[in-house]
Amino acid sequence: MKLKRTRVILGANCYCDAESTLELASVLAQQVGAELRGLLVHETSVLYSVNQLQARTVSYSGLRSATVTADTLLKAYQSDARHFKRHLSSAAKASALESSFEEIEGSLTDVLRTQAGNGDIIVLGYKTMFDQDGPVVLVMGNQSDLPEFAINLTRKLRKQLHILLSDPRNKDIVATEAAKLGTTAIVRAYDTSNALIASLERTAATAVVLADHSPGSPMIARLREAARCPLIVQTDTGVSDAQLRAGSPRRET
Amino acid sequence: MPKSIGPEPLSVSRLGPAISTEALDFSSTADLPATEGWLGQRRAVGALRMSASVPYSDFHAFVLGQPGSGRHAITHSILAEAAITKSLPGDWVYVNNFEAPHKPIAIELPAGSANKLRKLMETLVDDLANQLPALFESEDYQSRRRTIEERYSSEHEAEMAEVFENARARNVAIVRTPMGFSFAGLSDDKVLAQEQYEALSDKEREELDAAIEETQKHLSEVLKAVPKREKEHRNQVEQLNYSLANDGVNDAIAEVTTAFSEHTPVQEFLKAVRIDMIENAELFLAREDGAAAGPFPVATTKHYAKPQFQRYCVNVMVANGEEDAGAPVVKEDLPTLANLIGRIEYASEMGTLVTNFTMIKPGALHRANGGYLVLDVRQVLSEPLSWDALKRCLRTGEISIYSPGERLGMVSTISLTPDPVSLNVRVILIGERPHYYLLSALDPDFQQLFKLEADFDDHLDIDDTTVLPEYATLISDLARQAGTRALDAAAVVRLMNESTRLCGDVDRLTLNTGSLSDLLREAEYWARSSGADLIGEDNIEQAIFERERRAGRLRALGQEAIQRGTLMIDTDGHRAGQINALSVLRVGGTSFGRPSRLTARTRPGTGKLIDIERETELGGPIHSKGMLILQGYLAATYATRAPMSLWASLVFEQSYGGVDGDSASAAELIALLSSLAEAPIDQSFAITGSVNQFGDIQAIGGVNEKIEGFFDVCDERGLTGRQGVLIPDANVRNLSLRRRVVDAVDQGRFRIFPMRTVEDGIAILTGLEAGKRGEDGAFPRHSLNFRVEERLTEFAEIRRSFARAPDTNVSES
Repeated sequence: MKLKRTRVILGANCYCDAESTLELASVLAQQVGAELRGLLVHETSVLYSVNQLQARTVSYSGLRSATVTADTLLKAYQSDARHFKRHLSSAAKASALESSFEEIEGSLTDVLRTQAGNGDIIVLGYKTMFDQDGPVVLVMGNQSDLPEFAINLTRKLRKQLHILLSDPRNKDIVATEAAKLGTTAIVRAYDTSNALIASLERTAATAVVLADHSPGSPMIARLREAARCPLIVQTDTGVSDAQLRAGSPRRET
Repeated sequence: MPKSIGPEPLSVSRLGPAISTEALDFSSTADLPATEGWLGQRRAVGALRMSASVPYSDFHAFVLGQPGSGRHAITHSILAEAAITKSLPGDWVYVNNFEAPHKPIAIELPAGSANKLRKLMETLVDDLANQLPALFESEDYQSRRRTIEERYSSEHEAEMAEVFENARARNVAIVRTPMGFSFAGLSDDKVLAQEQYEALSDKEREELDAAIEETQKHLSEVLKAVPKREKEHRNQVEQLNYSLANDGVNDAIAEVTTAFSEHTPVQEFLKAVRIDMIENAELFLAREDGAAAGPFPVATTKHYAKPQFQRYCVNVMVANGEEDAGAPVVKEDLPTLANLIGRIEYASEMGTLVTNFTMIKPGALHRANGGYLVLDVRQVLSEPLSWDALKRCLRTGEISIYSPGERLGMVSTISLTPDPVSLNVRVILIGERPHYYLLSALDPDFQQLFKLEADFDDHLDIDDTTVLPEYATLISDLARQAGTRALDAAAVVRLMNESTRLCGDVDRLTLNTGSLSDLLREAEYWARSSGADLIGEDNIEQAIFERERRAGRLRALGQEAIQRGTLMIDTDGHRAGQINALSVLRVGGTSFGRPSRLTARTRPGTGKLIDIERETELGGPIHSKGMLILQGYLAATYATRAPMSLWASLVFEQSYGGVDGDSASAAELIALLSSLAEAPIDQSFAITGSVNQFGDIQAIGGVNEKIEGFFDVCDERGLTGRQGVLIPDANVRNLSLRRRVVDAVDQGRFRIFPMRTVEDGIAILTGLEAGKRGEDGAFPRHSLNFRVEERLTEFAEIRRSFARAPDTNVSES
């Protein structure tokens, strides 16, 4: 019988996404007493496509670069991986957290789905275009149990909390629940996935927490694209939030 | 006692001043009214009053006088009197120069306004520190800010959403990579795999490539617009902040602006403050943690004392108060450069010296501006750079503050160049006469700036019947100021007698009130000890006696040495070539007289007179001068028809220290003549006086002490009635002898003879007439001069005989 520690897994396709989300991930890991794990994922498809398409990239500041080859992109991944690892290690040390790092080829969402275990928290890194002062958006779907870590995170970041529900009947319950936890939340309902996506596209959020999606959900990539900010997904836990808060290890047999 | 052939001894009445209680019409000084205490100082008071009231900037005054003459008290009294009539000068403050912080701005304000401005500025800072955060936390501001933020981000988000939407619609995947956004084909929300891409038809590939190209272009445009949008956003937020801060600052500053609406320099300062506060509103938004703020609510915190708000402080240099108390009279006892012109202080921060306008400190010139500044010239001259700085300020009419270190190039740090403060002050320098004369001679600026001299008299002539009553009033004032009990009339007379002695002239009274006050307070001690209601004559006498006794250790040692015979002084008998000369020793604040044996030896020679004191370098220049005068007298009086063929030596026996002054020249001459004439000198006498080339006896100093010195030696051995002292007739007016001497003279046990010429001294000391040349050119046969000339002729003959016999030689060792 072996004790397995809860993990906060920060996955990203590049160093700038990882670096801008690392603080958020550290805060989460501290809150739940988890190990901090970093994953830099080389998008295999992109490596192939740049070769085939003689593709050019557009930098994050909008500059179109000269033709990119798979070789240069691979070197850029490796360089970012080194930076990510170093930064992750020092951030973990500063917060007295255990840490690990891995550089993997594949698709970011697929890799995270396979890496995540029960109770792990997945953070998809994303560097926002501006210094966001927006809210933390909690997508509850049809659930009514507020994930306490999301509330604590909101409080720690001193942001507003927006809660999106698919079931309008839960609005009052969730608002009351949030108030009990010491947070005033703006609760809104959406009826379809497209409405959810449209809502996320319009909101310059600090982070989006998906309470009703698993890492394997096909919607994850789409929601990330719409939110354009760090995305937090909690896997099915089987343990309570209280346990997560206390950083209690879970048993793996 | 042989028949006296010289001058008669002085009567008792001539041994001291003739002041009696009859001149005074009061029984005690308590009956006398208080006065200003400026007796005898009309000349100085007039000069001081003129300096205090003339409007010209360069009519500063120099007060000359001896210590103890009441210079300071009288000066302060006159200045205080003049200051009351002048209006209260304005206040001065230093404020921050927001454009050039190293050049703080000096502002003159109406009297009493400096502290008001300071407090209003402190209130302004406190108000803003409380109000601005509230304004920026208000719902209104947050809402407006949010609107800007949302507009800014929503526009971008919408554009980005459009890019992604279009890309998705055209099956283009946008993937984030380390090199930025990368693009690939998309199928069922999945990036195309290699085989999927290869399976596409050419047309499909072309369409995909075109879609990717357009997406790249579109995304690039959206991203490139970000900096511009960000700048626009920043401007909007800044405008919002500026507008809000503007409203807050305008409201808060209105109170200060209204309070000083008539004052242009303050208005200009407030304009600069307003702009700075708006531009730096974030200074007011930094809030402390609750714990650090302490138990008091934030509203009671002294925000103005925080370092970030020092820029808005008002540094009050001079605050003269609101009541019209007249112009200031400032006395600076330690006129260092910093104490005079002010200083710039520094604080050490991280090993570096830093300063700002709040660390400018005022000097005496700032405090005295518009009034009077009293300085001790010796202190000013002894402080490095102070005199130079004082002159520069008076010449330019401005106070410029600088540090001596900077001036000398010894300090290299960031410093300030504060605005000079315009100066309108009357400086009164107090010093002694040598200071005035030296400055006049050596400093060309001095006479240009200090045009008025207030010369304090040292004495008051008793030339009027009103002088003594007025002087009694002065004594009465001194007693009141010193807090002693009153004096009876006899004590006042005794004090006046002592005053003449201090002055050294029976017809003058000293104006050294310091010495009189000291004596009064000592007498008060003895009066209190005896339980008397008034200070009496005996108390004054005792004070004088005790004072001399306290300082008399050296004198007593000298007397003891004489009595033991260690120091050989004869007070009776006769001896040729030996005489008692008198000298005065000044030790500390006291002086006393002592007799010294002076001897002369003669023999044939070549006209050389050896002063052993000079040969051994123990004689001073004035002593040497006296010796040369003596030689001149000898040559002109006796050796008129033959070469001066004399060798003589003169010495103060048992003198091992320096000798100076010419008061022994009469004694030296008579000792020499006695030796030549082989006429014994009566050792019962001592003599003092200088002689000129005609044989006239001239006045000397310290006559009272000299007489008393010889008297005390004789008194201890027993007065014979024959003993006495020969003094210059010109010194009779200086006599103010102690009671013991006067009493002895009165009882016929001691005598004092005045001499006009050396012949008077010869007659008394040798019992021989000096003799005058007759029509035949010769001295009378039994006169001393006859014997002297006869002896000199013999010497000349001897010398001539040696000249005729070349084989013979006369050695002069």
